[in-house]
Amino acid sequence: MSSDLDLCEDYYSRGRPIVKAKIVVVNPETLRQTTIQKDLWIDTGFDGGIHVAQSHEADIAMIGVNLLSGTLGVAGGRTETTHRCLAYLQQIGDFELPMPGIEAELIFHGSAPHGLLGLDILKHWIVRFDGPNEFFKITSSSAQRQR
Amino acid sequence: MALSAPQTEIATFEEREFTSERFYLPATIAQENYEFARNQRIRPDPSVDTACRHRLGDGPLRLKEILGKIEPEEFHFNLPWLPPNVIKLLNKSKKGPISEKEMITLMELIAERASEHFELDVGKFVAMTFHGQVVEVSNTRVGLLKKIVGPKYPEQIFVWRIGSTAFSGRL
Repeated sequence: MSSDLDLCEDYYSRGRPIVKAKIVVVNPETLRQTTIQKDLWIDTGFDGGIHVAQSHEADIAMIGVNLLSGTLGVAGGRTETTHRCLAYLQQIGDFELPMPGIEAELIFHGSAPHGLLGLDILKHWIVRFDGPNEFFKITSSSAQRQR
Repeated sequence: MALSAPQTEIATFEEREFTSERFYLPATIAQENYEFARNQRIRPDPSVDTACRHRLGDGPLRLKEILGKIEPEEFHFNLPWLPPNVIKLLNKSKKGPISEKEMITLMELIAERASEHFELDVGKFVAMTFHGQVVEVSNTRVGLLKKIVGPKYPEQIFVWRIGSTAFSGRL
C-alpha cells in the first residue's frame, strides 16, 4: 500500500506546469500578515523558493516587513538586484499545508504575471511530469512528512 | 602485650609530627637573614623615580605617552579592509542613487573581501552590511532569512551566497 499523499495534480496551462499557491508573509514584531495568491510555474531551473513580480513589494511594505537586498541569477547568466523576505507557503493547488506552512524565500523581481516555484520548495515533494500528456502530479511521501 | 604499643614507636611518631610542622618555617637563622635581605632589595626605593623618561626636543616625554600615541585608531577587527573603488562607490551611494550595475559590483566586491577576511566557506549564506561586517551566517537560505527577519539592524544589510554570483536563481 502506497503511503504517498497526493497534494495536487493538473494539466499544463498554456504548455506549462502551473499551480495555484497561497503565500503568507508575517511581520514577527507586530504579527500583521499579508497574503499573496498567485499562479506559480513549477521551475526546476530555479534554485530559490518563490519568485513573484516586483509589484507585490507594496503588499509587504504595508505590514512593515523590511525587504533584504541581494542579487538574482537570471536566464542567460545575467545577475540582477532583487529584494526578498521570509514567507510561508500555505496552500498548493487545493491542498492546505499544515500550519504555519513551508518556510520559503520570497523574491520580488520583474513583472511576469505568473510567479515561479523553485527547487528550494520542490525539495519537500515528489513531482512527476508527464510531458506527452502535459500533466503533472505533486505528492508527499510519509518519510518526507515526518521530517 | 599485643594491645599496647612499644614506647620507642610512640616517640618516633611524635618526632615525625614535630618535623612536619617546622617544614613551612625558615630552617635556619641564616635562611631568615637571607629572606630579610632579599625583601629589602626588591622593595622599591621611594626616593628613586621609576617612571622612564625620554627626552624629545626640549621637554621630557614619558614612555607611557609614547605608547599611547602608537596605538592604532579607527581599526576594527570585525570589518574587512575595503579597496578604494568600494569606498568610492559607498560614498557615491550616500550622495544619491547608484545604478544597478554599480550596486551589483559593490555587493560582489564587499562579499569577496568579507569572505576572504572572515574565511567563510563556499556555499554559506551570509547577511552583511555594506561595510563588510557579517551579521549572520547559515547553511541554508531559509535558515538565514529566519535569523534576520526579526531583529532591526542599524545599517542596511544584504544577503549573499559565498562563492556565487547571486543569492539564488538560475545558477
